[in-house]
Amino acid sequence: MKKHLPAILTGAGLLILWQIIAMCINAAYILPSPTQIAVKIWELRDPLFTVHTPATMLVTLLGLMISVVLGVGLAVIMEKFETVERALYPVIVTTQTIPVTAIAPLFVLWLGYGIWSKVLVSVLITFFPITISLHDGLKSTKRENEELLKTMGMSSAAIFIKLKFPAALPSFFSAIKMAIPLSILGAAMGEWLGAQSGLGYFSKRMMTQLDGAGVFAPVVVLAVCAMLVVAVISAIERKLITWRKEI
Amino acid sequence: MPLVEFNDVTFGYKEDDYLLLRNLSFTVEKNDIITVIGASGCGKSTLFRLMTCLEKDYTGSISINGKSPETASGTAAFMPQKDLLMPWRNILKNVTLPLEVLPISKSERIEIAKEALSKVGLSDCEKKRPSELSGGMRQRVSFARTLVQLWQGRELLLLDEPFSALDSLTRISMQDWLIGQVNDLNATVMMVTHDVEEAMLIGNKIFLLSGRPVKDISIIDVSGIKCRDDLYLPQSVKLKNRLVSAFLTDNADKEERSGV
Repeated sequence: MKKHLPAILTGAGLLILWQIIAMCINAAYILPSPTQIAVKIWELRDPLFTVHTPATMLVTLLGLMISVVLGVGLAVIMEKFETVERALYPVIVTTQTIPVTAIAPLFVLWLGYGIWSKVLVSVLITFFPITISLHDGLKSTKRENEELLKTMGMSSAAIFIKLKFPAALPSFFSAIKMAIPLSILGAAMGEWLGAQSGLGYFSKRMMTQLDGAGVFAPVVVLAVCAMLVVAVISAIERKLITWRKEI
Repeated sequence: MPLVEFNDVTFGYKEDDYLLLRNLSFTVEKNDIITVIGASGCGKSTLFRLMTCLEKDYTGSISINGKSPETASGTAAFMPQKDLLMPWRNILKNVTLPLEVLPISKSERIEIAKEALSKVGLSDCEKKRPSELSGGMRQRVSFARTLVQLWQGRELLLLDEPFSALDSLTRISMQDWLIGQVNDLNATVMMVTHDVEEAMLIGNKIFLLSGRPVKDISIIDVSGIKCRDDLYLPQSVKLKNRLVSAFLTDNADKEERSGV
């Protein structure tokens, strides 16, 4: 608790400042106060938590799962085959220079207003940090470690399982923690472009009604969801990787 | 038949524009305890890299137990300079690592590793992580990890400067400890070291590598030196001075060639 005190105090200070500024402006459609947002979340709890949050979380989860499979696959293949690495690495980097907001409407054209256009936006944003971080993690093992295992008679597959994979786990968890907020962002962004449900869609609907607190309410829910999922992943990471500082 | 035979071996690393070994020939008999000394960068560790098949681009022939290094992969147990323990494995699991490629059951692996840890006096550290051990203890775990390979049929123990990272007091105690271990093993041992006294104390024979590239190995019999006190006998002191002088001459030659 003591460790988190500076963050809690800073957050509380910013909320108080926000409350004061919002009260001074006194125009909820421009800047609603934190208390107005809290009240709005409570009022809209039913659609927010039973319809829109699960919809966004489903897109987030699917996007993240596909990104993990794609990212891990690409990282492993690039680590194993240098030619593939040389061929793919620049392409992967290039995908990140494309503005997602510009290309996302294409996904709606291709895949329609259903869930998969949003999932694709989420994947496009999240597979990059997973691929690159894991690839760097796999590459980070020292040559002397690999050579020692070779002298023991281990195959490339055994060296991967016993050395490279465990050594890359810290990088993998860092990538996942980075990818979670991005995945949620991608899902919400996709929903903004066209959807029947989801926090992004809900936020856009509230905007058309000039309901400032209503726009902020799903944003707050999105942020809380991201923090909760990252906290869960961090807890798993702490349990699994007790040796992070030793490599 | 010698256990190790180098015949006219010539080798240089691809990235270097010079040779390390030229037409080098020597043999190591079974149960020899050889310490290998020579100036820094002369190719001592390279001999081990060639024997363990980590370097393959040489000319001449190398034979380990009558086979080429490519086909003799199960003959040598190698202990590197650094302990290279895996931080995500506890001590017991670090020692079982080389056994995991062998067709033996998990329980058997654990039994063998426990025995090896007991042999190096670390039975009470099985569940600890490498970070919880001192430098000397970590080297002993590394030795136990090498030992289990010898017990599983490997005949040649290759030690590459195993104590170079240790402080001088730990080093002395580890040297005395290793002498006991090596004498008990009844295996063929080759150990690279920079320390002339260590070479005289641990080995029965010293291989002195000199020249650039190395063409010949001077073989010095030190089987008469059985304990640390023997190092202070007049003939031992004379030999030590001779080896140090050879070392210094070779280093001076190297510096002259590199323009230092």
